[in-house]
Amino acid sequence: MTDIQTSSGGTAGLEARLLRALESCLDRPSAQGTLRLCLSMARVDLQAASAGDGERLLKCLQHSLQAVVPDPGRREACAAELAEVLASGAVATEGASRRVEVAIGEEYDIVQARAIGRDVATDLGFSPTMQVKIATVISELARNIFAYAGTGTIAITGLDDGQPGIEIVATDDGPGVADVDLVLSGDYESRTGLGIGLRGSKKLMDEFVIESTPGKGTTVCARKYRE
Amino acid sequence: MRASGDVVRIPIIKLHGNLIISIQVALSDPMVQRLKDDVTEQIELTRPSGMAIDISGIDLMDSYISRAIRDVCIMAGLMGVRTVISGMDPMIAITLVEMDMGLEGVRTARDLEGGLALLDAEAALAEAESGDLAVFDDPEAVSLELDETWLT
Repeated sequence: MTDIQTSSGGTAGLEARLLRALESCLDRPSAQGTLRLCLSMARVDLQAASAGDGERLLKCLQHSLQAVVPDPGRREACAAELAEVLASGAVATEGASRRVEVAIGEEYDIVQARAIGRDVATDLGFSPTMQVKIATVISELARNIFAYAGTGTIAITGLDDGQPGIEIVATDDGPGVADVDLVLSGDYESRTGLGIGLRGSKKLMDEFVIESTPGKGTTVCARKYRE
Repeated sequence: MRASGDVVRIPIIKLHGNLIISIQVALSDPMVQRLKDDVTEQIELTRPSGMAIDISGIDLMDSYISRAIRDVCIMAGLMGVRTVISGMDPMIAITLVEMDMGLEGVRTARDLEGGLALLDAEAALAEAESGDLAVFDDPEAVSLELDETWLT
């Protein structure tokens, strides 16, 4: 069992760095809530954000801080930190299709990945039930990365070529799965329930492909199309 | 970074004869471990007859979370505590069924109120049954019982 505090390799995605900056003056749940609110209010996609997006986001965050952080000194220090993070954030200026990548390095990242996935699914027009299913699959895949490989990434992409849909790609360079078919067959169940989670995820998706090389890592690609 | 021991704790409330646990946050591994420790400790300490876990605050259940909740119920059951889970979100129910992941061996109720009513009814029934045993001291009652057995 890996403890949050002892897990290493916490990655510094732009979102994680913004959260960390916010946490200098807010507790974690408030920091997360504030960031999510501002991202959606400012309509900013961190992976495909322009300089204008960054400015809009910063303005929104500053406004929010004004409402919740009474101490002006702390507020300004926090805002300066946020500005620095946004200025250094290497964000693509062109972003036709919506793509968000979440680095998985600690257990909390699982929650973040599925929250982001849910937002993307909402934006793509998936029904509330489908949003839950998609977020559940992301949670399973992210948890597998965390439990078996330690670190990896979850990439969530909105598909819009013909049929609208969502693509989730989970990548890690962990120990890999020796027999993918066995895991998906239902005859195998690990201590932590790997079989059930992957099998269940496959059932929820339209396409579900696992590519794994023992010792090298695993890539899972899952797609769900909107009805 | 948070200090160790700074694990968010799920509160456990004793009300009448029951423990009530309301899960309102996303469960992490350390939280689940902590919850298992706390639940078994509270059962030892307070000797409840029942335990209700309300999950209406959970917006998503993956295989890990459903397993964790089921484990807590089974542990309490092994210690002689009747358990019930209440308040599952309809969309989670759909998702779990489609994933082929039920909560086998765990009883459920629509909401916390229903869950507590179920626990109380069972406690009352158990009490009545143990009361019935005393009836067997009465020779007439025993013969009545025997007559019924003959009839079937």
